[in-house]
Amino acid sequence: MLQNCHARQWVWPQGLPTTLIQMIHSLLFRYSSVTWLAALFIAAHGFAATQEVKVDASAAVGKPQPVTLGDKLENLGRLY
Amino acid sequence: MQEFWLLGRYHVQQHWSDASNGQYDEGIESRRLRFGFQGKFFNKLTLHAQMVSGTELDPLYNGFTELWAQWSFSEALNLTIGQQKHRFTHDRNVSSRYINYLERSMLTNMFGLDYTPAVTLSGKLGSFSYYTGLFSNATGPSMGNSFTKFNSGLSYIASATWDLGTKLGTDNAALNLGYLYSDLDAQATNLNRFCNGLSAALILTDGPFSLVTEATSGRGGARGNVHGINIQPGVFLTDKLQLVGRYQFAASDDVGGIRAQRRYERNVGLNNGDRYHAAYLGLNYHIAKHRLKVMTGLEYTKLDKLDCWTGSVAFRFFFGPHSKGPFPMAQMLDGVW
Repeated sequence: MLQNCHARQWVWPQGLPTTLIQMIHSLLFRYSSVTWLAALFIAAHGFAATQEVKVDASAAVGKPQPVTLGDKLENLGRLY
Repeated sequence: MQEFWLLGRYHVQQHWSDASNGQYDEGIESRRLRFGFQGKFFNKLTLHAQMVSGTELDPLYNGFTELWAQWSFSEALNLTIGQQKHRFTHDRNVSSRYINYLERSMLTNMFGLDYTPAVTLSGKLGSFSYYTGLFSNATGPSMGNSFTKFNSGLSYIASATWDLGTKLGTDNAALNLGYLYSDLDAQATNLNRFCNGLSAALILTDGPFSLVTEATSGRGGARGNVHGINIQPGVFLTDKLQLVGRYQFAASDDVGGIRAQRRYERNVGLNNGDRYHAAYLGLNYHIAKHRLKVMTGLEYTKLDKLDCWTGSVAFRFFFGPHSKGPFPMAQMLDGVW
């Protein structure tokens, strides 16, 4: 009976804490390539923020429309 | 000439995998690098070419993923000839530019779906769209060989999608059904696991919420039948931040009929089994919708008695024309906040 009770106890999946610790450790110390991934993300987001400028509203539209990086990328590559 | 696009994508991802057998693996991978063009001429003819790089960009040129010409007789009838995508299962049909997870589901990947030379018909009739055709089961870096040597078996794929609109009480609903037959030739590079495949997917979106549920069955082949389900809930917390989950379950009739994901479960010793569970939770930050995004995820996988955790961070960028289809193809939802 005692063994059955023990068998039913919840066991935290063995891999999770190890993986999380290794992920954090890698991010902080071991894997420099992640640093440039993070830098790329920050740079891209920073660039996106600078692109979110207001343009003059036409009288017909009436409200300023933001032009985002997403708007610009929609037509990136379209030559014709 | 009505349109001319340069197109391309670059996907890079870092993973950390840790298995209960003590094996650990981590690494960064340039997952996809593709460049090409697409042009539309005479209002009827579309030409598409897209080169692909090899694993870790080695070699830089490794043939083409897509190389096809399409003649549009009408919206209901389009004939496409050339190397093109195997659109079997909704999971596979969604372009890697739009997928919400690090990788597609395990069972989808087991089919060996990719891109091979084919002749297909597709079209849209009201709320119904279809796609069907004959595919070669082999391709390689030499398009000359791929387009002239058809000694590796053939496959037939049929896919039908009904746009149900608001009929189910949600903002959007779609039903996709798919069928696959493959010759299973020993020389095949693709479509070489199952003789027959069946899939059914229900795709729902409502406000910021999405739910994709797909059942897939692979039948026949040397290692027997495998049946699986793939449930993918998601919510846009803001217009840019998306929380996604995924649960996969698959079972095989034969011992060892399931093969774990090449990325990255097999790296830590999960290989073959007959019961597969995987649960994924991730946060995706869409800097510029799907065109520029950062994806993070944590996945727990259990294959028989062995399990592993995989953490991931991915950066994805593409430019060029969109592809259309049910969520999440070229679609974003308005965020809760």
